[in-house]
Amino acid sequence: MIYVSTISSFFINPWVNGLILGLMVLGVFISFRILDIADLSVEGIVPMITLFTAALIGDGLNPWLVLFLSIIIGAVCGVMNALLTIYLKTPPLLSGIIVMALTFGVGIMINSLRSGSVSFDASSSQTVFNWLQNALNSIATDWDLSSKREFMFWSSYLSYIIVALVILLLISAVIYFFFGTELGMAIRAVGKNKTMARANGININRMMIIGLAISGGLVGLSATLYGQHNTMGLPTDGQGMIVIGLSSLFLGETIFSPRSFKMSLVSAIAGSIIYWYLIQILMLIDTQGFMLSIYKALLLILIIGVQLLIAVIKDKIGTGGRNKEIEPGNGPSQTRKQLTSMKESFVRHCLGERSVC
Amino acid sequence: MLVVDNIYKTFHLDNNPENDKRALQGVSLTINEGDFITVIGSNGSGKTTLLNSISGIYPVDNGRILLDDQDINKKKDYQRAKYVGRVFQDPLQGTIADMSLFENLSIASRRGKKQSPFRWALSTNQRQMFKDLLKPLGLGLEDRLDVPVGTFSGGQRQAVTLLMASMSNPKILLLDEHTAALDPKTAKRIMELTDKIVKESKVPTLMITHNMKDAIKYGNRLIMMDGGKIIYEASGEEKQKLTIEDLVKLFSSIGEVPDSVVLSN
Repeated sequence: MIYVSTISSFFINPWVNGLILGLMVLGVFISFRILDIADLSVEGIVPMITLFTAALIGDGLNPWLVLFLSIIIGAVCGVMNALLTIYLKTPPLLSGIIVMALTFGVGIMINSLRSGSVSFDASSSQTVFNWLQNALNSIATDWDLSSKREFMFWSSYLSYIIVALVILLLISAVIYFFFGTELGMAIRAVGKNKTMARANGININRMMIIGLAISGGLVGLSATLYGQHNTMGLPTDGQGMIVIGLSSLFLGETIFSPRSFKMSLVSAIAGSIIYWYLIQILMLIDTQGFMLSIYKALLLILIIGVQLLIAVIKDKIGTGGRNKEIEPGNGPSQTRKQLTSMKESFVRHCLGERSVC
Repeated sequence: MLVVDNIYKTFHLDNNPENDKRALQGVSLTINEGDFITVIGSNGSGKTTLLNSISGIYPVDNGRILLDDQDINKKKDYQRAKYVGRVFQDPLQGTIADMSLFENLSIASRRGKKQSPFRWALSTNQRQMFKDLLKPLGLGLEDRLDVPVGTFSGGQRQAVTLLMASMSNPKILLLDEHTAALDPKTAKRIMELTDKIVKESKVPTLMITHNMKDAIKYGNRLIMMDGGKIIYEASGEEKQKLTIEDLVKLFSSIGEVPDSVVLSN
């Protein structure tokens, strides 16, 4: 059994983590890529929501209600973040840090109010996952399967993956369609070119509020699923979350170099799952786990380096011309800007005579 | 009709009043229907500040800006965007590189219109409409609607920006040295395109230029700014007769001969 669980956790855990935190990666994608804001508030929102979730689930509240509340709280944090930037004129980075400190503080408060241990019993409390697990188990009982024990072991993983996957697909579809609407396109315009957005009558403050609210809501959703999956909340839950989010995002972009908005979403989610496989491998090396944060940071550096290298190579051999500018992908924006001029001269060269104007 | 009534604007660079930049010191200007005004003046004369004040990037300190007898000075730039079309000097500013031509045009087409936020932004009707709009440009852009604008040349992007700025029938068009960053051949084509658009739509236009030939050749009025004031104005017959030498004389009378004047001779 130990052997089975080691193998299965190696292959399945990345899926569970990748799908659940994939929602957080989508949140980071929206703030970092669409709105062009490095939003660090994730580090505070995540532990606040996991603690909040664990406390309320432990009290027997409906898990779907908790999930809904978490989205709302996350969105409110996003709005607060935007309002700080708009009305107090704090740089977006600082607004994120302030919201992070505040939400982290709320998390600490919840933790202290519950005497430093916020968890619930998975077998007696309702979560968004275990209703499915119970349903699967009851099917197993009804059918009187011979391998019932193994089935019950798999059913927990299966329920995590199915619920997370369904929510993730649903949310991705909503995001995809939302950013194709007039409002969504206006938000994208604000992140890309504020001068153009203003000249075309887009209220950039309002778009920033809406965009960060969506981003925060996604982080809240991800965090509550994370808490419900872990059956507890810890003040350290948010530690390194922004590193995880950015690493997953960049990893997906490096591998898939997305050229459309749809592909950007897919690559963010796929990046998240692949990232957790990499972490799983690193955990084999670092069995005690005290090096993991260092590995995560180094991995992020490595991903950024590889991304830059690929961009440079593509530019050298001239195949990067087509996908350099398209859609949110393609590396740190600084790199992109540096490469834009090179690429434009290349395109002009290719178009030759036709580019007189 | 746009009336700029005795506006003042000072930029406070730091707490020392001696370092204040008095960009506009009592500028008055009436822009009538069908006016195409070229604005010349050396660097720091207040040309761009005048345009930015009209477009609402910052409120003016004193004076009024009236659009059809309505004071718009309190309105923010994105609220004025309904009436004001803008083209910038930097070709990268007016369009979004990462978005397709279709998406860029579709954003511009909704300027000042009633919003229906949750409607799908791109429609087949629009596609046809944009194709019809792009065709007269003669750049072949009507076949490249789905291509990101970032792959276009500077001139193409300026042409697109010009189209976007004039698309939703603005009440005034502001062009801030919009050909300055282009090579001479492209600049000429964009200038001709500008002239065509302005003539066809009869939109009142204010164009800053450093090219004295363009300043004389295009438009029906010319103003010259210096030290935050309009120091010279010519229109109609008088403007037609202007020569580059006249303008150079004017510049030397205020003690400056801009490089662009020298170079264009």
